[in-house]
Amino acid sequence: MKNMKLEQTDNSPNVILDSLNGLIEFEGKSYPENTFEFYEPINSWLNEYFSGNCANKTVVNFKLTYFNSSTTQIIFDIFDTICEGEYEELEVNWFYDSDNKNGYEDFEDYSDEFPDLNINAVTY
Amino acid sequence: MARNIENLNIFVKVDDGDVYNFSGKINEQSIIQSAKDVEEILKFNNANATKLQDVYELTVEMMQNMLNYSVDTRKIENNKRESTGTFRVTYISSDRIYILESSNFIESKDKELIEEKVKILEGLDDKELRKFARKKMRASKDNHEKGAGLGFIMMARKTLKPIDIVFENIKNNVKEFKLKLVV
Repeated sequence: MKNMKLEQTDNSPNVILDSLNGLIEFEGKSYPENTFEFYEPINSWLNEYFSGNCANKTVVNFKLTYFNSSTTQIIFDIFDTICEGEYEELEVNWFYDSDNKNGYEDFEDYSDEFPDLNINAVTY
Repeated sequence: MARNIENLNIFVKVDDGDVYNFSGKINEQSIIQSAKDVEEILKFNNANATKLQDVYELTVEMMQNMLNYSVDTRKIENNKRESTGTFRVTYISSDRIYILESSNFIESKDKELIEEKVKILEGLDDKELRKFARKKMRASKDNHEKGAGLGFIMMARKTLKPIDIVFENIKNNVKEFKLKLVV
């Protein structure tokens, strides 16, 4: 399957969807005007990737600094897709600012909801 | 007397003095610019990382709500939209708090829906709000909805005082919706 890369803008993250190297990464801010439309092709790619097309090892990195409530739902949906999908070795990392309690609370909420993903909290 | 929606604008002030004043339409670019300006003001006031994120995200959330739900929102080019409304951030330096206020025009029928979404959050502590948010996200996923109500939960989690909402009659089927948060 083809890789996908979206460059960061003022209100949307840098997105790397690399099937060959098993890298999935979101970095930056996420509050595009049409959030669900923005993530639609990303969700399609993820559904295909986790339907028997994954690399031997998959690393998923969330490095989001700010995001709107719609993105909160999108991230939940992405974790759900991964959880229900097929994969071999998986590493999920949630990056957050150690000075910011919100980032860690978001990590706690997602990791409580998706314990099977063993999400790692990583400070930056 | 009904207000002229063309006169509504966006501005940021510290105590009684305006430090940022934007007049114009609410659209994707003005939201980005306002969020950047608010971020700069908070950095200038040495706000900590949590406060900075709270005010930044609420600024975006409140302005996007105005764009999403105003009665006068219209489509412009490339599937983008434009609306009118007032958004204000006031920094009270003595208490080190930020007051965020928005005002826009909505369809009268939306009043009950908003009141319902806010009322259900009243009295919930942070732990209960987080649990409720997760329940909402799970339900939205299962029902293929788009995270309805998550914005108000985010607001309730960040605000120091209960979400303050006021509706004023403007004309038939149109109300002015005022939202106030203290962070």
